[in-house]
Amino acid sequence: MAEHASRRAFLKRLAALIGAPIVFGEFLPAGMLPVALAKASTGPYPTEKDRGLVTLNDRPLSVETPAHLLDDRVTPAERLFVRNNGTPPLKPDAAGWRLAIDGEAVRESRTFSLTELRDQFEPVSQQLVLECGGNGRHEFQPPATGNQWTIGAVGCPAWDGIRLRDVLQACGVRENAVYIGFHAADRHLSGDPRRDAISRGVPIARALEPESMLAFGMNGHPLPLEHGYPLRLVFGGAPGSTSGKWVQRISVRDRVHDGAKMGGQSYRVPCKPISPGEVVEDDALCIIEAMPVKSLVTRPQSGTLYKRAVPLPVRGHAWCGASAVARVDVSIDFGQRWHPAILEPPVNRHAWQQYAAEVTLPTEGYYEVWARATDGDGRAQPMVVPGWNPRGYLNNACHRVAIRAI
Amino acid sequence: MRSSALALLALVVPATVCGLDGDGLAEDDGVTDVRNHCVACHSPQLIIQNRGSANRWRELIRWMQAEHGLWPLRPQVETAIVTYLARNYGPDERSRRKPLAPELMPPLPGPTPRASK
Repeated sequence: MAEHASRRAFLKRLAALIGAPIVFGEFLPAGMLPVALAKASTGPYPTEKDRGLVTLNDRPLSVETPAHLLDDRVTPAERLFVRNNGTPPLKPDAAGWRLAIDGEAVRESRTFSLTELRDQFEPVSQQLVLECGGNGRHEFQPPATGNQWTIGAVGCPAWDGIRLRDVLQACGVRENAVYIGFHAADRHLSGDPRRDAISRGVPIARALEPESMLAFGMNGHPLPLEHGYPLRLVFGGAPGSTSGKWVQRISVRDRVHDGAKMGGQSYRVPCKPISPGEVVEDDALCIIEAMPVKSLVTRPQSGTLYKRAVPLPVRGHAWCGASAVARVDVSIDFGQRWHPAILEPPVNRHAWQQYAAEVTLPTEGYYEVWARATDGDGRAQPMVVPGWNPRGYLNNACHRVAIRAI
Repeated sequence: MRSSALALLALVVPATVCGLDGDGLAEDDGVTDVRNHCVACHSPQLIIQNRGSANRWRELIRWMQAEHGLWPLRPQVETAIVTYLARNYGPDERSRRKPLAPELMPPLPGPTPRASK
């Protein structure tokens, strides 16, 4: 009720700003702004998202990107998926923002302003893959509960910020450190101020990798509001939920972090494989620490008509949370024959890699273009949906696009 | 007999098949309880995009009561909600890999198909 009232007030203020009533304003997904106002937005405003993106849930906001809109090497803000767990802060104050470092395993608890973080630590800019742990969930049978992501809860922007390692080491990491856990400014959906919407983290070894970042910006601009303005974590290749947004506190823990959505079935899969629909106790579930090898076909666009017997360029991205991608193959006959693609190396660790191939559709008719990436350890994407798990994580089945040859 | 059954269908079918309210929830017995008790906290889209049996929906209610502050429900209210959800958002057909979604499919061969390039 209060939220509705304040939302109406917010829309009224917006209408005053752009000098016109916001038609259908009540139907704007929470966290989205009308185009006229969002145009100029960098910083504490949401991005004007590409109209091709698909909203799966408007409270909390979950928006995904169709494959053909993920063609850019560096994902622009307007084409990056959004997954919120709670209600984002409406107007975060960058000047007053503080990051506290604390926990059982830190030598000295310290608090930094954003200016201090910028001034005291070396700047870095890296392209890092952000992918929701539940990307691909819609294919699991029996159905797994949660946002029914198809393939588009992934992107690879260039993040601007500092190394988390530098900040943690400035405070001192004790020998007994096991995990880091974040606390952030988004509110629990119930409105209960004592509860974190989400408070996850990564093992200490991952936190201390040089690619693990505290980011202020994305693609040369301040972070958009829905992507964590003014400060967020980015752990490329880990489940996206570890890359906390609107981060205010990071605890160096002497145990596996036990914050909101660390336990139960959240972001966990059976330690030992189970059959589809099998009941599994929570204590038989293990935390997902890296996303599996995966790829997308960004060209051609699914649903397109192409001429037969002429070369059809196929391209896209491939990535792997634990290592680099070693090869990509494409097939136009449902995986019977595979054709090697040319694969580029990543611009940095945990960035996605580009591949390109050419295929020829021999006759008129229906084809599916499939892509299959293989990681450095020889693990390739499966062609069917992999191991069933209660919450539907880690579906890395090869991507398929449908083409008709004429 | 046959024509009166058809007439009845004509009255009933549009109400159930096309009877989507502005919030997207299917209009059916129990929808008011769903709006009062479920949509108070989260979007109806969280319901609409999911599928489950009556047991699965009941488990989710228990989980929301245990973990997310959902209040206790009177038994008849809970039954109305679970019945509504299982009837309107019941399990989908099983498949290890389904055909691609209709919106991703190319048009069927027609008299004058045109290539995009």
